[in-house]
Amino acid sequence: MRVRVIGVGSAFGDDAVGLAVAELLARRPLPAQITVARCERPMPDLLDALDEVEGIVLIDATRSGAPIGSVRHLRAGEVTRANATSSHGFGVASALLLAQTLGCPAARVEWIGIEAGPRRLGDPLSAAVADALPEAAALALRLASEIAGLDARR
Amino acid sequence: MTETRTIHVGALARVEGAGALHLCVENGRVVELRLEIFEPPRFFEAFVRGRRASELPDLLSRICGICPVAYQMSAVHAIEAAWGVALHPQVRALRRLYYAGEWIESHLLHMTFLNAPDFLRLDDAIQIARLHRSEVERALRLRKLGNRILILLGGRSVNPVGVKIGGFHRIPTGSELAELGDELRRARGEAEALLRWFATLPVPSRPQDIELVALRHPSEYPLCEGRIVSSKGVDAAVHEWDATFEEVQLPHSTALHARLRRDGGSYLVGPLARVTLNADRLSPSAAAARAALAHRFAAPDPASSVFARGIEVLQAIDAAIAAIERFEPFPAQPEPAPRAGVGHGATEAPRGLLYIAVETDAEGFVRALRIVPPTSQNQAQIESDLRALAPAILALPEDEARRACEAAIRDYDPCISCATHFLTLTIERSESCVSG
Repeated sequence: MRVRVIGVGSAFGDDAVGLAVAELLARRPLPAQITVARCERPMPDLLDALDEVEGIVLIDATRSGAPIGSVRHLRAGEVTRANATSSHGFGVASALLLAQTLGCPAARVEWIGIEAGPRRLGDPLSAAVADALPEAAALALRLASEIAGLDARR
Repeated sequence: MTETRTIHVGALARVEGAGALHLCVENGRVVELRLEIFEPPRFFEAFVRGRRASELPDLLSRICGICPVAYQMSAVHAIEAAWGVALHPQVRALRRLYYAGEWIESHLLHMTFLNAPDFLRLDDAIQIARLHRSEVERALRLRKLGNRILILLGGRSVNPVGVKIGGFHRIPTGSELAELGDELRRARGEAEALLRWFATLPVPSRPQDIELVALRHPSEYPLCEGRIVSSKGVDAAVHEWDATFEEVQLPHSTALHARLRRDGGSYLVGPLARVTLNADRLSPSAAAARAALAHRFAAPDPASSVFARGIEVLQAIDAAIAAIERFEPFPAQPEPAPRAGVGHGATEAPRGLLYIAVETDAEGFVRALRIVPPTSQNQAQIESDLRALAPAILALPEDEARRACEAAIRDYDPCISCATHFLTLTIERSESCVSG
């Protein structure tokens, strides 16, 4: 099964964490079944990133009240279609729902959330979030390997 | 007895950015109407002062995620005018290709995701995808082609970075362009089919007396060059924008309103204005599509904008193919030398005329920048349209009336985020805000 790890984010401080995890993974040698993509604009770029894969692992910043930098494997139902009123606000969940409505073959979708702190344009990641990158990358690789039917320890 | 009806839309849906509408009708007469743009201003014009002009294409690309090319194009043309840069004909052709990519992407996004739900009385594109899957898939395939063009010349599709003064950082190879040309030729039929589908939808009609404003080029459908003309006699060079139009600050909007200096009147920029004022410059396939929809263009009708966008998708595909067919490899261009001066650029953003004026010093640093985006120019016309619409919606239930107003605003594809760069704090302090 082909799997794509998709880091979602923007250049606003900790909101870039999904992109940073994707960059970290892209620098590593990965099994042929696993590819990595960056997504700065869920609508419509996430739709493109869903092409030709049967499974995806989405990594995005969260704001849930958890300690900054906590990495969570999100359960189905925890991600809502918030703020879907403009093309600027067409979020990850909406884009995914649209893709699934259009018959996107990605049958397996896993979400990883990293709790974000400040989100100011141009700021680097906060220390707590930067420290969480290896853990998030390892979790993404483990989930992607599981979906792809690979042994993540190899 | 006085009968008052107030319609307030707290947050306009399916537009780019944040805005609201306040409409108050008393005894059938509109006594208050405000398209409220409250998205905070971003001060682009101020914070680029003192930066190198060569940074402007990348910085201004950040103004909008939907129409970054328009900001890049108006800016580089303004700088090149200030510095007296002569463009290589192939650079000019590649800029038309690049801009065509943005038109394709932006128009399809608006037609399918923002506008179509109005005609089908659905909440969003996800519902449309359930009921009209093949049309949404077709729109997404076409949009992706626009994206490909942006990536080829801009390096990436979001806030692209490939543009520089005098050209591009990287020129595509002949084989990359040939492959793209093949895809574009195949896409023409898809764009025609999509427009035919839109023509079957119950798109409303609101013909009205509007002054249409667009660029006009001696021989081409306008993109980066031309004179500013109108349906009521304006014929001005780009550097005469200020002598022809003026911007005013209104308390309810963080975007300036533009109006004609001649009579203070509102005007409309965008696809409807371009298709009407440049009908004789359309490519054969776009002209055929317009002829099939001629009844929608008999009088200016903002509700026909969706068809103008569909026609312009065809026009953009043909312009892109033409640029590719004429492409020949050319030598690297010398870096333009800065000089002190003022330059003006006006290009046709997907949403309409985008005017930029820039002043640089002899070392190429920005001394002043002025940006007049299309949404700011269309604001007065949008309010005038809503004023005319109000009597017809008074009898409607609250939700329906609100829906009709929002749909009318969406016909203009307003990019509110783009328009809100202009608030001057001095002016705002000197005027009291009208309470909502």
